[in-house]
Amino acid sequence: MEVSKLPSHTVGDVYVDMPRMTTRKVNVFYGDKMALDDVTLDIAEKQVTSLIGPSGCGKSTFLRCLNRMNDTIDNCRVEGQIKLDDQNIYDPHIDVVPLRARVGMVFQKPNPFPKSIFDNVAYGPRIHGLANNKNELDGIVEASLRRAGLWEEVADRLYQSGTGLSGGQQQRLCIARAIAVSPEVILMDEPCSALDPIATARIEELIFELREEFTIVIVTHSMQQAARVSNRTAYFHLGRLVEVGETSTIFTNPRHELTNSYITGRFG
Amino acid sequence: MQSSHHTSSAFDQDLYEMSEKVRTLANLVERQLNAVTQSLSTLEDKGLDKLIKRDKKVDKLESEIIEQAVEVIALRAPRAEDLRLVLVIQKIATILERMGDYARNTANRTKVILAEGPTIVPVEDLRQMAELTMTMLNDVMAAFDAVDVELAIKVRNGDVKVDKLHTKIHRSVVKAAQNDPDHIIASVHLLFIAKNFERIGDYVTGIAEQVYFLANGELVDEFRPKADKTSWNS
Repeated sequence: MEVSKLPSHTVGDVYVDMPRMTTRKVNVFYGDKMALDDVTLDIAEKQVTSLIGPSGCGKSTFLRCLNRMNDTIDNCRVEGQIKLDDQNIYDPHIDVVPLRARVGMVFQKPNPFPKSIFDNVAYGPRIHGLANNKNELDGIVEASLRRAGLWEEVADRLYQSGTGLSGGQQQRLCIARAIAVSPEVILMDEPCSALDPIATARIEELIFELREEFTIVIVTHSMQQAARVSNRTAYFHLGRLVEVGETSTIFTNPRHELTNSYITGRFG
Repeated sequence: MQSSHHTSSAFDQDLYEMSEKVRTLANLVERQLNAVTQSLSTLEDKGLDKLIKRDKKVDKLESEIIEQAVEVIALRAPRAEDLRLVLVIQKIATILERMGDYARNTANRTKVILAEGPTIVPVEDLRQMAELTMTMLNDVMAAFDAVDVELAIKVRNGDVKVDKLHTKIHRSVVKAAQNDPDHIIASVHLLFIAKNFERIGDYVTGIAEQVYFLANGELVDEFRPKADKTSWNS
């Protein structure tokens, strides 16, 4: 029944004036199964775009296309065009390592390396050769921890293990690690789902601050979180991008019936 | 509006209860308007004190609706059409409460007029004006029930008739007062009563605009026709 309600085209304006990333007619298959169907969407620069929808709707698949994380899945095939600025990121000549530095990622479960807090943040700058000496590296680590709102809490224990921090602190450490390599885009896959409400509020506040500098795409199951942190919201359903628009519009006056049902809690 | 149910049935129940309460409030206000019109159009006290006392019920029901709206917003975080419904219900409740105040005020003034003794009262025009506002209230609540924007806009535009009657009554009362300065007090109260009904008509248009917002998620920006000329030199 719900399949018949899917719109033939995405409702709302998929284009923006200053896109940092563009996706055009993206299809994704896991083996024979189609996970994303004809998704065209612009990701606006220095804005937060949230991707919402029920489980299995394709929102995480879409997120993972944006820095080719799906390459790690054997039977996954991506069609269509995805560009970062004007560069096609699925171009065979593209090296995914620097791509993933430009398009960083924060995962659902905080996943610090089993190393010191310092080394967690210094890892990226080291492998990408971003610091010429110890002083510069110290500077990057401090600045990144500050921007992630963690410096005050860890300044006196930088050489203790990152895994010893609380869940919320670990997630902020992961954000510090992501921003240490000065990415252009940060992808966040349900970054607060393992955190308590206070830690969640801190991450949300951080997202709000980070959008001054970074383009952020976030997948979330919490509609209130999407409402609180994002400028634009995209609603996915059964692999299709059903509707996209200003977050305030999507949450007060969605145009498509499926979006409305999801937003108002009418899927049961 | 959506016919399908929320995953949370308690949420459905909350919204249903709020809608029912605002309907009850509208019925109560209509009853108040009807009661004051009975006394005004017969120039006999037909339970004015009871009516004045009953205004407390109107106030209480409005408070209950607002409390419930706050609770639903805090606990359920309604979104989209649900959010609009909650906001619209509490706004309509506030408008209805104000209409109730005007009914009470009209009852107080009617008591003074009756105490003043025989005077010239444009009974027929006042009755017509009052009945018009009651019909408008009825229609606008039907528009709310059915989320019928067309009906809501029709009611909104119909307010010009109330305005015209107000202008007519205003002129006739002023003229009568000039001719019969002994009854100036009653005349002044009559002017206020006519103004009260004119305001009640305006409040109904406010409810009509809420129905529009409920359906469309945006405010009406269309010009509302007006025909109140009482502030012009008559």
